[in-house]
Amino acid sequence: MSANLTARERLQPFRPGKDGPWNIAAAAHLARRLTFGAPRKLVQKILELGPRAAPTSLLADRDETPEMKAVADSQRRIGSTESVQTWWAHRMLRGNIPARDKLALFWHDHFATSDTKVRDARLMMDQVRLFLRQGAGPFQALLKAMAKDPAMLIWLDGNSNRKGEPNENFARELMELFSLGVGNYTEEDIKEAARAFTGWHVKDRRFWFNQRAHDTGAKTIFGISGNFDGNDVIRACLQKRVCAEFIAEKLFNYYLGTPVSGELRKALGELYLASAHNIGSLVEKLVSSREFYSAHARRSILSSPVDFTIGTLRTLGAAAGAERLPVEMSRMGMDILRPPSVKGWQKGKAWLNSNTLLSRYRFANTLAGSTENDPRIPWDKLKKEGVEGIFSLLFPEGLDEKIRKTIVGETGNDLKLMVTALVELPEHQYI
Amino acid sequence: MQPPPVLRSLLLFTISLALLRGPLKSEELQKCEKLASWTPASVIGYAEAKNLGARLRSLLDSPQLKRMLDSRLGKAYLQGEDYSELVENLENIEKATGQDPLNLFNDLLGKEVLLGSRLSFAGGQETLLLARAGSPETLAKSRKTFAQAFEASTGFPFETRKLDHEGHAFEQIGDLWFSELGEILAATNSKKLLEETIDLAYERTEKSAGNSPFFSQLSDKDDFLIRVSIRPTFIPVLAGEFGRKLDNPVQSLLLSGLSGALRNCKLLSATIDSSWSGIDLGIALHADDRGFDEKYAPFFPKTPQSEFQHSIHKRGLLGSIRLSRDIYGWWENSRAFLEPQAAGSLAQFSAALSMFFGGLNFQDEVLPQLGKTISLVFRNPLKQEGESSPSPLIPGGALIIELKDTKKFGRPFIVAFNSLVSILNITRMQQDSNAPSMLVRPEKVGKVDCYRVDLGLPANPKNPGIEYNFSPSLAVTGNRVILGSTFDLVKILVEESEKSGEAGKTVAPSYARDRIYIDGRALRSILGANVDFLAAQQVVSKGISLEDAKKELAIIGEILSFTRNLELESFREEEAVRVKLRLGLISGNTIVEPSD
Repeated sequence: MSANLTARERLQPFRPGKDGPWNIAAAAHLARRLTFGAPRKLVQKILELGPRAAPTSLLADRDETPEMKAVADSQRRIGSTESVQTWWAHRMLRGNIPARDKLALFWHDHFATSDTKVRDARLMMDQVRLFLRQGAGPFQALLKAMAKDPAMLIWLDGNSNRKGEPNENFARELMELFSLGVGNYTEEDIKEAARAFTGWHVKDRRFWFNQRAHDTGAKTIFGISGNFDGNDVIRACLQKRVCAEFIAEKLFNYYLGTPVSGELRKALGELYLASAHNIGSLVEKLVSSREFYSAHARRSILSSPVDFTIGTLRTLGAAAGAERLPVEMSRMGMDILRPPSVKGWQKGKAWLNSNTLLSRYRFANTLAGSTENDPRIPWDKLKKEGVEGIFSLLFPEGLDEKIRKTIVGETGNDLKLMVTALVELPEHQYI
Repeated sequence: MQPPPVLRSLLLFTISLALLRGPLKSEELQKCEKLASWTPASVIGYAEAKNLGARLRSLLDSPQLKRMLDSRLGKAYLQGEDYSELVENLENIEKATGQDPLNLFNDLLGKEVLLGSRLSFAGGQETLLLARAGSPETLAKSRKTFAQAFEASTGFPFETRKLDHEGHAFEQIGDLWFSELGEILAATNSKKLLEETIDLAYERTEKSAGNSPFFSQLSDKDDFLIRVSIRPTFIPVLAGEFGRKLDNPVQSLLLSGLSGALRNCKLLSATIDSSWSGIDLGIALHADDRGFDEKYAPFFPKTPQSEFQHSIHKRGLLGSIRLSRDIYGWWENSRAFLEPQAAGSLAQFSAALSMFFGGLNFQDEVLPQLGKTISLVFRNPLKQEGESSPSPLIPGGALIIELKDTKKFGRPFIVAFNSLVSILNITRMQQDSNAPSMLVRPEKVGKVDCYRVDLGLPANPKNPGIEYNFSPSLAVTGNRVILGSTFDLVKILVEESEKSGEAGKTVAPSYARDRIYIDGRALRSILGANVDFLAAQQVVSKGISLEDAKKELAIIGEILSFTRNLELESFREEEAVRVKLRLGLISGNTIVEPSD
């Protein structure tokens, strides 16, 4: 379908019936990409809402449930990295706004801040909460908040950025990784921007504008001179057209994962600007586009460990203690709150190697386990759905007949073995 | 004058016969004073129960049971499958026998029961049951009832093979032999064992467990519901474990004494007793003729008694652990209790600790100065007016080490405390240059200098976290060094220590008692204070809903509302080591509210 369309046309809203069927497979595709996994109830809800209304509904902010509040409070009070990881895993697994958590996970990778250096899990929790709260709002507000975020300031050495001795770490990442991308600024721009952020410090674990350390002299950024401060630099970055393309392309890769041509990049920038810098609005447009529902976009993204574990459990309706999930994800190569570098995680095929694949298999085997630590799958319910029901739950778009026959033949009537085998399938590694 | 040869031969025959049969041969069934007298001495152990029927009836008629069944837990039990099954089984028994199951139980097993066991030559187990009925007539009636019930439920008559042992009739059905011996029912899976029991009942032999030198240590005066007495060295799987060297120093410090006592133990008896005020479990290890091996002396030191241990409990402790050991003696002889590698690790540990004690050699200069008692006490935090409580709310804990002379040897502990804080500061700074430094601040409690660590936390936070539970502190007072997780607890302990003075002033040394104590009300109080936190932890660890987690915790809280305290003691009494466990219950209808 989309092969004959222009980039702009590919980004236009999907029209059920005309551009393709609006069915359970399409709804499950949206559920997997915009949230984690495709639980039956959610898929049904999406199906009823339709491709335009569903993303808006899923991304809408909601009050936390009493359980989410209780877990957040208790894990914050403990304040260890593991406890905060558990809090987030619990939110993703049982929270009422998984689409916000999925978007927060994008920003966590984008602004890749690691607790290995921050060493204050509560600040990391505050940062994730910032993503949850503002991640779907205007990008400018998010970027400004991040520039003052204590965890970010510790991560990129804000306190050593002083007048006369500027530390370029934040200014460099702001341009290279957070807003513009490589090649869209000069070394001089970074040096001057670093001066603008001098004095943006942390004190008592809070943002502190250290007037004495701030460089009030004139700076020249992107060829324009003035007595700029950090907010001016952020504004200047956001005004560059390339910023729109950079952010929109990153979100496109996260939610759609199909190749981006120069023409498409340009169209994505236009879509971003048309969304008035509003991320939620942009994401809604992306996941309700023709491109999103195109055949080549389906099951084209290799799932991250978070998508794999949380998505599988949610799809199967499993009850699981969130406490063990961060360890499982870490074994699969994604230690949340501890990204490997400022660039975040290597994605795509980098998720899989001999170690991480075995960890995925190990996790799949725990689904059939019966110890207290293993997830509790509602086997009776699945049994009622029968073999066809289980296949359609995990692969609503269908599965190659040869694979299907092999699975059924090899596992016989053993439901647990069948689910384990299906979760281990290469097809299930993709969302 | 010699008797005639014929008369002499007859006399010789009579004497020989008397010698062969023994002087106690009797053809009269004797009165059974205690069931152990009719239990062959060859048993390796036996269990006795007394007055089960009366106690069961008293339990069923009690208002306390009603209160328990009215509780959430009780209601859950009454609605559960286990209770339905019990009721169904009781109804079946009543239907089959035509009698109230409780009366039937009381008639047959309710007065006194003994279950003994011995190993057969073939390697199997031979078991003997002796049950005292109210009278021979009651026993005969019960047998008849049983036969009727058997017929009613199976449709077959209750037929047994009739046998005889020296004039006393007994019966066999399958692999079971049984006999009525007056008001005593004897049943066993070994014909020989039953015959020996019959011989004891007729006093044809004296070789009973009651007369055995092994079981004679048991007191007839012991008040118990159930008592189990065994000769542990006759149990092959256990015997090899006793006195074994351990590979964990802490385990050895705690348990090597008991393990050594079991090695020389000729009889182990365990009793269970219960009443509405509590449930008592007692274990006694009686030493054999060799007595206790003196190498285990460091585990059973004699210590002077002090008011301090009593007075601190009056200040509302959540729990305490008191351990009495001659640690220096244990350390010096550690190779006798520990595997070589573990003993070697003690030397390394000593070297590491020497670093903290300002250059003093821990093993040779610090350990010899330690007293014989180490205590660990826990207390729920004091409520601070106008301040939010941290969550989770963690009880304060304090280690109390007794020294021979704190004036001479208290100083190294203060040095060690300061060194530890400095090392922690350096380590934290290396990991995080923004980490606040911990400062040791001196504080006075009365005339005693205390040292309190200021963790550098922001004051009056809105939602204080786990770290606000701690204000590590040290005090040297009387003959004690007190190291606590909170200043409040250290302050209380210093006050009590100062009041009680030095240990040993009042009472002569006696064998010390190791003791673990937990206060049920304080436990319930801390559970109540942390219920939201604990529920959330249940959610993330088990994956259950918040509502279910709260229900689970409510049940635990309800169980604790019946619990006064839990107390475990172990101590030496010359040639016996005793372990006592008491679960104190709150009886009556008073609902106990949480307290500090």
